[in-house]
Amino acid sequence: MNNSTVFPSRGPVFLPKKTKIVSRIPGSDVSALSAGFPDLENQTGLSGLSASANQNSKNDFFSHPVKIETKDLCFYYGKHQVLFDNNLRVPEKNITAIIGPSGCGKSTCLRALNRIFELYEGQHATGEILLDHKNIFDRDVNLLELRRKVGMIFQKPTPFPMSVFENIAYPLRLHFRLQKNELADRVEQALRGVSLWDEVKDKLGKSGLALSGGQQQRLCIARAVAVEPEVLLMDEPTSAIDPVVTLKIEESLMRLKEKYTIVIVTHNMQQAARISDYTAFFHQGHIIEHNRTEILFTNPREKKTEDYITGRFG
Amino acid sequence: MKIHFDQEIQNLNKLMIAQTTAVENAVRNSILSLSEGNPDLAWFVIVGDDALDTNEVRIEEECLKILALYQPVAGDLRYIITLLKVNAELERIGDLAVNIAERVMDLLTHKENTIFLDFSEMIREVSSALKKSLDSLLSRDADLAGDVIDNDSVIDDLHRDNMQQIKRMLQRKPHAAESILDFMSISRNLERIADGCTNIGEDVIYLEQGKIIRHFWKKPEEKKE
Repeated sequence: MNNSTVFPSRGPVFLPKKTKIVSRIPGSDVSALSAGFPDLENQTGLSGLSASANQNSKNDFFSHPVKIETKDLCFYYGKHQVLFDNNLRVPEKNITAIIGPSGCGKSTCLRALNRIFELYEGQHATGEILLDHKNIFDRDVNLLELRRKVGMIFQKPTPFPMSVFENIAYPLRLHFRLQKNELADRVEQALRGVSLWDEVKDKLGKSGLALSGGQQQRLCIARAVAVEPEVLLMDEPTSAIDPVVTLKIEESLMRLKEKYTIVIVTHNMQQAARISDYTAFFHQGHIIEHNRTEILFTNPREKKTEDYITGRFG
Repeated sequence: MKIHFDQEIQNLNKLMIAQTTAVENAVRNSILSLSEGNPDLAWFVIVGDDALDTNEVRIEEECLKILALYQPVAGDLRYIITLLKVNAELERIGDLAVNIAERVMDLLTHKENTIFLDFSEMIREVSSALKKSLDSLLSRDADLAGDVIDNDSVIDDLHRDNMQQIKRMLQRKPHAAESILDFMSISRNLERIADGCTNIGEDVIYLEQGKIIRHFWKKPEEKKE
């Protein structure tokens, strides 16, 4: 009966090996144990769960068809290089967010994706950008067709100085031959797609510039969508817009991604987390991490990513 | 902004350190009340539970405030989520310590003095599991957390052995059924405290590695097979 609890006899018949109560300060009195910790990634073989996140992310990229892929993309403003051998894969019919500090090259990357940078002197890119496995830098690429396929929306709304209707009808006429009623249908469809129809249906003849900032931006999105692009590039599309309209635009994007591949540059990390399926973190012209959004925002692989998204950068 | 956030986290850490110490003391006192047959210690555990409950609510409120005001992500998010879960687990462990203390008080009212059950090994294992799990949380040591999880089956086995002994006791000494049932309850509560420690270990692994291993854990030796 040694070492036994005899109960309820009074007095200390048994005392357990005394538990030392230590001050609970991190790192204090912790005995490192030799037992190896199982390698969970090999052990579980989970898919679709947050366990073995890194493995999943690899598989996940392969499970979606890739719409745009950059291969060793470098970009130069004159002699100044701002992108360094970027390899980015944009999955089809998903929203990919690009985040990073100012000057990291995220807008530059976006501008390269439909060759809009060529409008400016002294800017050039090397490497490849494959749209549906076709290099957009090839000589036989029709620029007008490329920019129809890859539409762009900017930070500041840029409606044409014409009526609301014409803002959308103009690019439609440029790219398609449509009957009058078809044209009207397509305009209505585009405006409905961005939840703007009910707000502007009675003022289609009024100038697009007379709309509010949020309405103008949605008009621009509708204009880009009207020509049935395959990819939408968005450069901080909601940074100048109030939270209510921002939400409307985000809801529109969630609907639009069923038909289009969307790449959005944003400084608003909550927005990236809310709406994107994948997020790429850029820093000083390099892609530091590219992963599924929920993984990048809960368990980033790279310390730089963690530091940036938790606000501890620098 | 970040400075404010870090201050909030530091304040939360202080609350959490106080709560882990209080819960560990409650468990220790309940165990001592059992081994010493000391009703004062048991009473001390029972009346101390209100303070644990109050702390639990306060820690949860702090976590919710931080989530709402700072929208933490990545390691910060995992930390707050882990504290929320561990906080609830600690409160449950405190309740289990109270259960043990209440059983001890009940045992002390019984007249028969011939019943005994050897809890020494179980007490050692549970105390060690609690200490390691809390240390693993505060020092963010996933290896130590893994050790707690690995060791849970040892405590389960001890509980099973106790149940066998209790069955035999009930057959042999039915007149002492009330005391024997108290022992059964104590064994069950000790085993549940160990389960709580395992849950804390799992939360620490999520905190450190971002992996939810709750239903997929294998011991090192099982993995080798």
